[in-house]
Amino acid sequence: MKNSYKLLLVGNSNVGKSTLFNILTGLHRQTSNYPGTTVAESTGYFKLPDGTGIQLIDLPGTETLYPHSMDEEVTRQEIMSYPGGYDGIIYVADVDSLKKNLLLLTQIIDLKIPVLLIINKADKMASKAIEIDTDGLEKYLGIPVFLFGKKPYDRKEELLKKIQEFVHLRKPPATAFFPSLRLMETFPELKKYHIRDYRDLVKLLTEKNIRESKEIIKKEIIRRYQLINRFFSRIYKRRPLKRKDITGLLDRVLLHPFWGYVVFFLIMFLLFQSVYQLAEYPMNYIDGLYHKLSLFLLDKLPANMFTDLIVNGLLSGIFGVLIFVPQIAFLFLFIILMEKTGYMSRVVYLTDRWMKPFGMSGKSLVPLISGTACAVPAILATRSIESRRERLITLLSIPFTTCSARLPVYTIIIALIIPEKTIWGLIGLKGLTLFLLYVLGFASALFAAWLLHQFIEKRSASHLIMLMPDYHLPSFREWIFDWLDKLRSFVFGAGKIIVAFSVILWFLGTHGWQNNQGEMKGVAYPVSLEKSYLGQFGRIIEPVFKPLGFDWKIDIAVLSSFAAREIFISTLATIYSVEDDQPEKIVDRLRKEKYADGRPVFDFATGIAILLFYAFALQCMSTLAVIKQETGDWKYALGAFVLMTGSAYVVSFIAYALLN
Amino acid sequence: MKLIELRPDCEAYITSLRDVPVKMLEMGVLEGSKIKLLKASPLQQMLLLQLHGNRIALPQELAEKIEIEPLPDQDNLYCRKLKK
Repeated sequence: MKNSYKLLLVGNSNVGKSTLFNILTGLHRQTSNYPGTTVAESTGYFKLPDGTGIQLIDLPGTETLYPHSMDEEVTRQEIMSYPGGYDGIIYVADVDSLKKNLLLLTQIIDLKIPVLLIINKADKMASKAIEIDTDGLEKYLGIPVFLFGKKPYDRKEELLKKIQEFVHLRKPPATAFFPSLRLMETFPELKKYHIRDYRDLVKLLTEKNIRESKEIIKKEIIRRYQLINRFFSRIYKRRPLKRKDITGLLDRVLLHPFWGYVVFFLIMFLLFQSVYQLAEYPMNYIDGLYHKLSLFLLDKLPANMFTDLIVNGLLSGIFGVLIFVPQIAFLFLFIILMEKTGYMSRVVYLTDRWMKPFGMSGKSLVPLISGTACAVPAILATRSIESRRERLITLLSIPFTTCSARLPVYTIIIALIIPEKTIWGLIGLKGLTLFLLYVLGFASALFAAWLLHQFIEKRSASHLIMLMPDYHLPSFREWIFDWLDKLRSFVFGAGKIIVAFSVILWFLGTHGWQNNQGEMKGVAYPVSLEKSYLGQFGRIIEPVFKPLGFDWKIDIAVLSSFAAREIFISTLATIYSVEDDQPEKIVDRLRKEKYADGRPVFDFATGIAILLFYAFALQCMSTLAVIKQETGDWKYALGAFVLMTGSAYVVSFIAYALLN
Repeated sequence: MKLIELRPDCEAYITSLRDVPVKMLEMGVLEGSKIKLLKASPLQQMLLLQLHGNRIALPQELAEKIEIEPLPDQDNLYCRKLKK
């Protein structure tokens, strides 16, 4: 007997596979109430009661073995790797859409793969007046069946025992829906291809490009549903509901041709107002903490280069990012809530028609909205878009949407150039500016998509056909883990680069070719900032950005942020800390910065030019790498970089020329 | 009559499907299936159907390709009335 097994977690989209994966493995993989959340496989491990180890692979959802999109192809390839690739399948079905879920299950059964059926969300049976005869289902399908869900079906121990029983037996299914004989009866046209069994048929239809494939697939689906219908009404009963259908009632408003859009825009507007106004309190606290910590360290540590590196290099860089965590936390909170409650699917429904003129579908909107958090997972999320053309247009438009890394830049510049006023005593001018910058990002993404739509050849029409999930109130535990996970990856992902950059910048800002002694805070430096490597380099590139109103210090911050945008603020913080005697708020420090003739460096025209430069420029190495990965071609990544950064320069130049 | 002509809250059986995408069949939109139209909006060009207890969003363009027969035990005058 083996002491470890590899199992696949398979099922249709949005049936709760990742939730089950998290329960079994103890991991916190992102879950949501929207089809297509899982776009790549992930692995976890757990132990059965007898000590047997299980390697569990969570796969993207798919409706059949005939993939429509990249993520579904990953699942097909994994399933087809049996025997040899893995030991069995845990198939997850949803109590609400069991009939539809049985379509893929019967295909897996016909591949003679050992499979355990887990009917998830069983707790909904009572509220939906559903009855399932699991014994009857086991008999018809010839495989073990287990009901699972929230209370009273949260039976993890029993589930582990069931999996234990299943892995030790690994019995191939006792029934077949398409035995070889029926296969030939149903598809006489296949005789010329020498098909021996169902595995051969799947391989033929997916790996070889045969003329009849579409018709054969349609015929197979219809035939399978006919076979499922023969027993389904005997094992599954759904009585009419007596109480009001909450989802139906909410949909009356949220999908309304007028009110649906009003609610959507209201939610978006609330998001950006809260990102600005509510986040201000924790931001002030973090800022105060930075001051106290800096003064404490300067007071307690000896006055030398090392202390200066800690306080003005590392600390200013790290706090330059930490201060924006509250804003990003609000942004992530809204996105996660939209995904988990099922509202994101309604957004797809509302927007599908309006995305068509731009060569996209409603499905493109979810990656575009996710792009406001980070472009990298958003680009990966396009894997669930079936049409290659729509997918390409969407993924190349995503970098225009305002990602969270732009937020610190926007916040600082808005604080510098927009007055603290409200319109009608309600709408903050700063929050409104931020909202408009998000609108600009989204409008640019749509414009880029429209341009691509004109140039990329259209091969076939694509349609949005989508299962709309019920609304669901996520549990506190459910969303808090996803929320913290997203925040953690922002802080540590950006943090690593920022710490490295802060140290490098501190070195470049305090050392140079000339051995000119400078003195700051009583500490002797090899050179002053102006004569440092950083200063010299800034002076060399100054003419390039001069037409945009940037001085050499801004130039350095802009250039260093080509690795990642959020470095802009930490670079400015490091540059000014290196130069300055006392730690103070970065905004106050920037406000004091003046040219020799007394003009402020960060005036309205320069501020707008910086905002527009960051709105358009593609300053993210990870985004470039993921565009190359997903398109398989550097030309798309380089094209996006040149076009976006070029347009950023032109737009900023025009804005500065007009406003100055 | 076509699915596009059915009124909201009315139920019907699908009688024939003309050149529909595979994805639609996968969702269970098949001849003989009972469907209920939950929502139709010309502005959004989308329909919301209820099928086997699930809600399915479908573009109007595809609803043109689905022939239906409204259920006999409902207000036929309302459900059959063309929306044009």
